[in-house]
Amino acid sequence: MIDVSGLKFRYPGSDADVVKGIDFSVSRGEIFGFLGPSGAGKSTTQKILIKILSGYGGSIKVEGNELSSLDSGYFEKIGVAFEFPNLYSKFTAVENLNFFSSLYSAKCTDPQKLLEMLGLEKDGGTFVSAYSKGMKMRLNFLRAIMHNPEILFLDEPTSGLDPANARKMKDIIKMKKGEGKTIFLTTHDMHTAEELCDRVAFIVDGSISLIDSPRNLKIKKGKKAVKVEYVEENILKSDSFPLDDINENKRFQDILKTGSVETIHTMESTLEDIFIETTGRRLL
Amino acid sequence: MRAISLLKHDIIFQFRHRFYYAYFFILAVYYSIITNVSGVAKDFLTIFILFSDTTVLGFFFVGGLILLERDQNTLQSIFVTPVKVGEYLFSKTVSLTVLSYIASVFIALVAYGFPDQFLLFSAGAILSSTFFIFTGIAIAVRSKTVNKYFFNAIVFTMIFFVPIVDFVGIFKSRLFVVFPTYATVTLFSVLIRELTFFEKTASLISLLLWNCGMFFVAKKWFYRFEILKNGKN
Ligand SMILES: Nc1ncnc2c1ncn2[C@@H]1O[C@H](COP(=O)(O)OP(=O)(O)O)[C@@H](O)[C@H]1O
Ligand SMILES: [Mg+2]
Repeated sequence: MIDVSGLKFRYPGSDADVVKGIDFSVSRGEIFGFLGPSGAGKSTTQKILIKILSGYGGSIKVEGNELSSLDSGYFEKIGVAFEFPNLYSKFTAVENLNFFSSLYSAKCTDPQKLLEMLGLEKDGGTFVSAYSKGMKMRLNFLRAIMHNPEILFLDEPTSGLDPANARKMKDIIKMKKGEGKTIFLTTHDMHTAEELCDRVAFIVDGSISLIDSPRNLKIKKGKKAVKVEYVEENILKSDSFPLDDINENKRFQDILKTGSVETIHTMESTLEDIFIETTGRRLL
Repeated sequence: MRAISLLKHDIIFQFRHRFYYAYFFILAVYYSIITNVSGVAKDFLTIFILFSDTTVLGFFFVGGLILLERDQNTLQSIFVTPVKVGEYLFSKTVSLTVLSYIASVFIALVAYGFPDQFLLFSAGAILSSTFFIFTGIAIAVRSKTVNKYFFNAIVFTMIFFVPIVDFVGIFKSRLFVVFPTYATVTLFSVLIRELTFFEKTASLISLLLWNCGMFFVAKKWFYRFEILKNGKN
């Protein structure tokens, strides 16, 4: 669906590339995630893909056609939720949705139905200026999906949401995937990436260091360990040991023999652990 | 269909941001001025007011619209829909031109009754209004802050006001013909005197050309400086 190769981008007036030659492709019906710390170039890449930044180097093909050659018909097919909400503040939620609906030739979902999807059904008549940040983010998301687009671009979709609404939004994203939609999302939250993405790209400083499914990453790169808490000389201590050769680990056996073990847990590396190990950077 | 939606939205937007109240107030001031003077002063003031009406609408209102939208960050969301830059600018222009035209007709009616050369007067009012709106758009997209915008708009207003010098008679020169505002003042003068055939055609052609040129610049700059620069956020 989307094939990117050698993509480079530099903001006008700046003297360094913020996207430094990246390659990736997103298949139809896939949720593809950009995982990386803030400032990595995630939003920039998204903005290039939705054509509000121009003058990129390299190639971007959407269904085989170069992005820069696509006309405004492209916008009928994509839905975009930006990182920061951008709605008309002196218009109500329903007015905003109706207005944006009228700009598409496709038939759009009824505003009231949309609002119900994210618990905003009672706030449809409220001016957006009176909305909280989280409510604006929800409305922003609904605006992105209302015309039932083939490709969704979601920039940090769950940021600033309470857990219950983040849950609902993730379920909608999964539902969209179920309908065969292609989804490109950016996030610095490993839980979101892990739960939603079929594949993630680790991006730091404008470069991608690897692309794989969260599951594969955990199998290939993850380490399993056993964490033991025990009492020694009246002090609670803890230690952890690799799971692989635990049966031959002398120290582990010794602790077991003392009979002073309080707890034993197995621990898996999180996606963030793997991210840190691969890129040497934290996801902040 | 999309054009109608945009237009409707723009009108509600302007109404809710109290543009019409502001404009109503300005009109009331004009009205009280015109109805309280007579003779040459009235002729002068009427032309001057008609002229400033179109510029105020063009420079300050369209600039205000764009700066408000920039502030609410809505331009990004508009331009990831199928809306084209031309359609967006067209809607802004039509909504403000209608306002400006109604005001111009009102001012003319108050001052002199129904204009004899109504078509010519209308052409002058409408073409002047659209020209200043395009110019206002071009200035707005090149101004990073509200203050810079006001500064730039005032500078341009002053430049375009130069032909007034000719109108008042302080300094006459054929060179003023190059100013779009010379054509504006000439066409508005149809209210107070007969225009020659040359004056009519030259003014109309001048305004038409300025409109085409400025629309081209406004559209190009709007895309380059307002949409593509929106990577800011
Ligand atoms: N309009 C802009 N002009 C210049 N530099 C920018 C602009 N927007 C973002 N940047 C820079 O580009 C880099 C990538 O930013 P961004 O794509 O927003 O990162 P992310 O979304 O991963 O947090 C950052 O260093 C940021 O400071
Ligand atoms: Mg970002």
